[in-house]
This record gives sequence, structure tokens and C-alpha cells, in this order.
Amino acid sequence: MQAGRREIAVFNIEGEYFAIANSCPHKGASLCDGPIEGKMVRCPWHHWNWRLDDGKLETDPRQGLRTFEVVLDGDDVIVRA
Amino acid sequence: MNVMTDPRREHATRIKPQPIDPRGRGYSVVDTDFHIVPDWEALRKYMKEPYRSEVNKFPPVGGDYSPKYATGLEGTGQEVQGRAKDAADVLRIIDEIGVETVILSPGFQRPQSMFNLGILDAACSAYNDFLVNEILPASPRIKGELMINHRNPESGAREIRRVGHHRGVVSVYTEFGGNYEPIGSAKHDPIFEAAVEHDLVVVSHIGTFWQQFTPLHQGTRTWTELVGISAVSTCMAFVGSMIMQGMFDKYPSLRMVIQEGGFWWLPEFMARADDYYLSHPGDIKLVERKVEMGEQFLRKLPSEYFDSNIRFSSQPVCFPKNHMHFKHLMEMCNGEDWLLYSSDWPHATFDPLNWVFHQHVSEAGRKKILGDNARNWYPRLKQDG
Ligand code: FES
Repeated sequence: MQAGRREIAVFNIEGEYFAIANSCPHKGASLCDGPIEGKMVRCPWHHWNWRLDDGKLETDPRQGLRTFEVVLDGDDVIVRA
Repeated sequence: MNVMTDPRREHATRIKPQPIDPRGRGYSVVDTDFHIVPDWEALRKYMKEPYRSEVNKFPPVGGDYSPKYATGLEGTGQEVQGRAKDAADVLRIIDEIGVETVILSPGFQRPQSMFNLGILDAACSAYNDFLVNEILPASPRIKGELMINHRNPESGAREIRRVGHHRGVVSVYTEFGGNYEPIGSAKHDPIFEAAVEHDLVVVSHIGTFWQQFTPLHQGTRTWTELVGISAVSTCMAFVGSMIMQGMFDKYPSLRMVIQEGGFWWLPEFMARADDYYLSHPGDIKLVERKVEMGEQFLRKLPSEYFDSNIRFSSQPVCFPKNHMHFKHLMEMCNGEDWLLYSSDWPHATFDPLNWVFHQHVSEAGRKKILGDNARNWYPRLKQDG
């Protein structure tokens, strides 16, 4: 999703919503194109696994990407930037 | 479902993100390493018996040559990003990744590692016939690298002379790996002779199969040790052989492109090779080419052969944590002049061109790395389809 100048990837995992910055910090792949494994998204280019809840990298959690709070309001999914 | 930002409750729009930096479209990008992998069936018709019937039964060396151990991606083999089998696939993919002109590397590294030279000859010739008949005529944007049997330099040279004149052929593929004597030794001269005759660049690409990628495979356990790290030292040894064994003194116009063996090691290599050479020059006169040429020393310092004879394709480019160090490395390795952009599509180490914009590269450097360096290095790149 594009919100202002930001690209945000929003995932719905069995009814639970997560929102993270879409661009992979490694070489810039689009994370919304990556497969989901549990509560992680696997980057489609070089397979770094990003945790959806806190944005941390599975193999080295010192690295992370931005996460966004998601709230549901009826049919609306609200992403707080 | 509506997605909004709060508190402005601005509606977000659903988009199809374009992860390739759009600034790349402003350059005429050349990708110097992109693997095409046709079906064996597509090659079979170009083979004679007994290979035509038997080619799929050759010893399945390297059947597990794939990073799947280390990535958990089953079933993709090396084709992690997808698979280009024909010219239409190639054109579609290079449009997606922002590439104007592509140089196709033979996707089959496995046969190169087989010791059965007859099968290897047959696979090489069939691939080259497929390339010049079915791929290169499709578009002037597609250029190709010949597959040769470099284990048998005489037959490798024969193959270059058989198909090297075809339009769109710009280079010859060889590999550095644990199964091969370094390409710089004089026994490979028939290959260089034929390549120079046809104005073809010779490529030395990481290759062979798990675990013989490198003579250092003994004791390795992991993909990172083997392909990530040890292959770099194998590459350095191969480059060392080219320079120290007088290859560029015998073939001054020969142009090499080194692929996937790293390049940030250049400052150490250049300083060390010069120093060792100056302190130990006594054995140079004994290498085969120097005996043949009646010369005692190299014609210049080892480090000076890079500018005249060697370039590096860029993939996989690695970033130091400190961004300024990237800038320093580029300077120390003459990166803006010696690097040629490559994507390595579809392998696991696929490199989009984004780094050229996201790292410290000057505007002039971007233009050179993304295309001008390759156009200036491959004499036949400009040739029209
Ligand atoms: S771009 Fe995401 S892992 Fe490389």
C-alpha cells in the first residue's frame, strides 16, 4: 500500500493484521511479494526472514525494519504511521 | 477492505510496488551475467548419437548443486528467481529488472564439471547451436557467451572457431573451481588464441559443483564457507595464474571478465603480488610461456595487468556496515572503471541495480558501471542483431 510517500506491506495472517515497511533493507526487494512462514515474511530475493510482529530479522535480531500499528474499525483496517 | 492512515484518515492506495530503482531506467544498462537455462529437450535435437538418446543419463554429478540446504527453498535448484528458457522469457525478465542489453551465460554449469569429455563437447555444441539459432536472432538486446569444453583446450578452441563468428556472440565462458587447473596456465592457450582471433572476451565464472567449488572444500560444512568465502580465494588463485604465468604478455589484447569471485580483495592482491614478485622473480623465466618467448620477467608489475586486461562483473556486491567504507573500497579497487554491472538472475545471489543508487557511487560512475564499462570492454557488444 502506498500512504503518502511510504510503501507499507500489510499482511493478514488468519485474521491478525501486521504492517511493515515494504522495502527490504538488504537490497530493496518488495516484501509484500514474499511468502509468509508463520509470523515471518521471507524476502523474495535473498530470503532474509523478517518477523512481522516486531520487524526484526530472524537471524540477527539487532537488525530490523519499521513496523506500524494496525487497528481494526469495522471493515476498515487502520494503519497508524 | 479499506486501509487508512490515522489520524488524518487518509486513504492509502493499493499499489504494485516496483522494487527495481526506477532511476535505472535512465541508463542504457548492460547485464553481464544472466543465466539462461533451456530444457535439455531443446538441446537434444542438436546432438548426434549416442548423446542425443543418452544425454539425460550421464552421471548425475552435482545433482544437489543448489543452495537449498542453506535457504530452505526446496525444488527450485539454482532457479531461485524463476527460469528463462527462451528468448521471450529473457526479454520479459530484463524489462522487469531494468536491463537494456543482456549477455547470457550458459545456465549449465554442471556439465562443465563432468570428466566425460565427449558428453561435455556434445553439450557445449548443442547449447551454442541453440543460442545462435534460437536465441540471438530474436533481438539485438540479447548477446551470448559460448559454452566450451575448457577441460580440453583443443576442443574448446575448435568450438570457438566453429561458432565464434555468429552475430551476438560476445564472449566465451570458463569456470574457476576446485576441479580445474587454473585457467591462466599455458595448456589453455588454444582457447585464448581462438578468443583473441574472434575479438571475444573470456569469462571466468565461479563454478563446478558441491562441494568441489574450491580446493578448500575439505573441511567445509556450510554454503557460506564454501561458496561465500572459499570461492573468493580460488578466484584469486586463478587470477594469480593468469598474471604470473605470462598470459597477458603472450596475449596483450586478451580481455577477461571475472565473475562472482569478489573484488574487494584487490588492494591486498595487488600490493602483495607486486611485492612477492619483486622479491622472488627468479622462477618467472621457467613458466611455459616465458620459456617459449625467451623472456625472464613479466613485462610490467602484476598489479598493472588489471587495467589493461581484467574486469569484474559486480554481482554479488557486498556492503560494509560503514557506508563511507564502501566509497573507500570503490576507490581502492578502481570500481567505477573496473566493475561491470551484473544481475546473476535467477540465482540466489541475484543483484538488482539498486545498489548503484543507494551506495556511494558518483554520477559518472553509475553511468560507467551500468553500461559504459561493458560497452567499452566487450569489443563485439555493439554489433547489431
Ligand atoms: S533484498 Fe531482501 S533479502 Fe535481499
